[in-house]
Amino acid sequence: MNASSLRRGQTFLALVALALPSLGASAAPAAGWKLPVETRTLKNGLTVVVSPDHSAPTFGMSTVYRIGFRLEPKGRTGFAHLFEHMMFEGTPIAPKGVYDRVVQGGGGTDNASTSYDFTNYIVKAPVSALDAILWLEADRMKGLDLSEKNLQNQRDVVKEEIRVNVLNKPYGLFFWTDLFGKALDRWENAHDGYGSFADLDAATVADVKSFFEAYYTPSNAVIAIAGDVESAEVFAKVEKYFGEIPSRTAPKRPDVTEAANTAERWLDQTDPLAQVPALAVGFKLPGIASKDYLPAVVLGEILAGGDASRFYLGLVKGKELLLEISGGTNWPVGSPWEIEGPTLMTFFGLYKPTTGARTVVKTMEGITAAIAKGGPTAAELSRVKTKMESDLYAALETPLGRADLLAIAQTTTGSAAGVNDLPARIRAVTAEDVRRVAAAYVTAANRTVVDRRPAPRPDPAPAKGQ
Amino acid sequence: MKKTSSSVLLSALAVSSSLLLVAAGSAAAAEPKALPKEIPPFGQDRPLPAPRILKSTTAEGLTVWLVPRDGFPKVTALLAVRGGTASDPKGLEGTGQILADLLKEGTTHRSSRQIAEELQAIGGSLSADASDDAITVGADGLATGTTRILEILADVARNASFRAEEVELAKANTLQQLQVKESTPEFLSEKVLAAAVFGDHPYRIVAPTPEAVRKVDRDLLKGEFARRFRPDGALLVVVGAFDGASVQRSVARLFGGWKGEGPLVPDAGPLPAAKAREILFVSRPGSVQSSLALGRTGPGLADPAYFPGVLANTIYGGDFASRLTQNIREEKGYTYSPRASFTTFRAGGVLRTTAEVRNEVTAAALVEIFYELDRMGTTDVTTEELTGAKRLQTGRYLLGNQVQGSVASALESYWVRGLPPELLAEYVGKVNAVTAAEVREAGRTLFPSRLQTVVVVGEESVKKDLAQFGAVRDVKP
Repeated sequence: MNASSLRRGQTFLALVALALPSLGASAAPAAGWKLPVETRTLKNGLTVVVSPDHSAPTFGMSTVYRIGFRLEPKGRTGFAHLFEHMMFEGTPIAPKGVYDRVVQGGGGTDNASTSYDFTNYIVKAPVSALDAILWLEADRMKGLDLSEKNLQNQRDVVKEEIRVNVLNKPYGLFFWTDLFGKALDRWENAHDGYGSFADLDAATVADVKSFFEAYYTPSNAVIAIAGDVESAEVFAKVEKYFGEIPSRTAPKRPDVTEAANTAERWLDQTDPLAQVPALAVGFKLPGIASKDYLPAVVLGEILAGGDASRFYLGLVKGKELLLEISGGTNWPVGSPWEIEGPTLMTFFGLYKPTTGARTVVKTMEGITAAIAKGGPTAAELSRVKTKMESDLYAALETPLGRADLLAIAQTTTGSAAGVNDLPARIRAVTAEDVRRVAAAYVTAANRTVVDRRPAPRPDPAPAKGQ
Repeated sequence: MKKTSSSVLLSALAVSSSLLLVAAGSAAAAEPKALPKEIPPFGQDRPLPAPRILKSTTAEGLTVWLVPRDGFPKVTALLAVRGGTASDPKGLEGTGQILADLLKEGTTHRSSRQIAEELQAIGGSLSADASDDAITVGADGLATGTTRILEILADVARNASFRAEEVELAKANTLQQLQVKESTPEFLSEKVLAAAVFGDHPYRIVAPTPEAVRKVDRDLLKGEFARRFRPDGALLVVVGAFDGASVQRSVARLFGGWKGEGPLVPDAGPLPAAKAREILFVSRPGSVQSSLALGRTGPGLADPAYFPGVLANTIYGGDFASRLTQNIREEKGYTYSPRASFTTFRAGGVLRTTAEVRNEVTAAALVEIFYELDRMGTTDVTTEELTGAKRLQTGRYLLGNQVQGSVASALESYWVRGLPPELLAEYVGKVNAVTAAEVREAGRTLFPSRLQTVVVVGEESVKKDLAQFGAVRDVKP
């Protein structure tokens, strides 16, 4: 689940459940799976990453800007995401609507999402549309045709997005916004990336212009293309379409690190739309550059990665306290690789009316304390690492999956090719690494809990369930 | 890498290539403003890769479709049986989902934990789900674990054990999950719309009632398992990096001796015709949006009316460029998430439109939805729209092909609908053969707003604006 990856739109995949046939094959070798990765930086600072695969006549492209809601202006919560919507509102040459017409006419599908540390614009299409789509991406990197009318339109659309995902829904993403808000201290890390309606209303066309000027520059962007292309061909085309865009220097990323918390934080909430109680538990983690990060990813998978995980076996089965459990490192923001940090290791569960949040938390603590003391078993660690490697390959199955992860890795770690090193780095994590990270971060003092219970209902609801 | 090309598909594609950029001068109905001349034209489309599907039937009657491919080092396998929730016994409607859920919870040879750990060890997992027409068990993992994937699927399909304690836990959890679902507007609208559109047809069921869940027991589950899980009513699809002959041998060994008894699960009857417009209101106090859902029955995948319907639906509400999205999102800002879908079953299909809109524009959004629906039958679509919709469907075909799980699911869905796997290769040709006149006819027959059932879930205060569209009936979900 990608709850806090604020998307431009829902995907329309449901429509093609029957239109997804078979055939091609991807061209990578079966063992020690590695992607071809070539990287080049244009004079204006735009970084280009290419990963050819000629198994089918398609391509995926991800354009990633190193700006997300973490560094949006104070007093303008939700602005980075609103801005993402504005990138589809037209340019001086290609007015509103042209982008969608050309992408669809090319047989492609597009979307965009805003996260803490980056905003990505993604397209997948038959390769016959490559030039047209590159042109569109370059055109909007040159500048936008901003109008009050279009800003008001997208403000309305974003408010509907917040209503549908937060305000009109039981639980309302509390396991992201409320938990992260409680656990983290700096405004940058703690504020709600969806934003308040007051801040969205306060946003002006001038704000959009200055945000674009500051952050949407070639030197703050990475464009990755994977699929039925040759590297030289892509480098030449990107040079042709993007090479003349003037260079500007993006603001330096400020220090947003935070130390682990020193006392448990607890937030009680009521939810008028929910009928079943839920809790979210988070542990503050350093960013992806920390040596502790990858062991923390493994630990998250040991605890909540599927039906063989310790929390599932202990809490959903076993003591039967939870109806279900989700979570892990950087959940629900994205996959563990989609963040610079800091972030949380988060767990979210619906609990049984016969128990309470404190009991669930204490039972979790028993499970994690055992790992902090003795580490995972060898068999368990081996299984979990194999599953993580397999899941990583799954994320790289399609050209768009590859392009997106390569562009994000280039943005958040400075090395797209580093994606190829992940399987070996995962395999190198030891039981002692996992034990150490459990003891250091998954502690009562570094824990934040949000207990979300159904509000008493004003009207007598018919008895349902038990 | 296999890149065989099919001449039929190639010629169909060649016709559509680059049409978009030269279509502006066409004499057809009002084309939109020409695209900026700076945009480079689309290139020549490259040949479509053709599928290679190894079809066989085991001695016991199990249908096996294998799609071996190089590269991506994983394997996905699905085992589907005829008989989903539409085949549940009277009084127990919807409990087929509990049967499906329990398939993961152990066999006579493996506990649920053993299943999970064995699959985790090869980088995979098990899933099981009940649709209206089938129950489908899926397993995946790294290609090195292909045999283990098949072993576990065969074990589950033949030996699921329905241990008493697992049955009790599944029932308790299902009851609580129903409470969770009842608190979401999308579940309420789906439930009410399905009941109205399908009438007495068993596709009306989207979830069991608490009473039905309480009636489920081990004997019932074992009986239903035996009735549905039988080789002559089952399909095995395997897609991924494996050797076809070796997998065929494993399948013969693992499924050898599997037997079924008694009559096969009967088909559900035909769907009812589309009904005259009715407006159903579900009160959900505290809602800040109205959840709009419109729907009607339609043709199935095997019906010649299907492909014109798919293209009409794409133009109407199928993507960002669609009329509905451009109208109620990009022009009016009423909604984030308008969506039109056309899905099919073994018997027929259903067309649906959904949108969540803020309370004060509930009626205003409905007017626009009705307008866009009726426009589909009253004027021709433009050349750009038709070409774009065809190219979009072709692109989705190509892109879907690259996802192992999508290929497996598409094949499984064809089998469930009684269609051959060859439809995969024929799909794009069928899409591209559709004419503008056929799309107009689909618009005239499948899209009139007077033949849509309308469900509104929301605040009581929005109801007063709905009466102008017809009688409003309060419904308790």
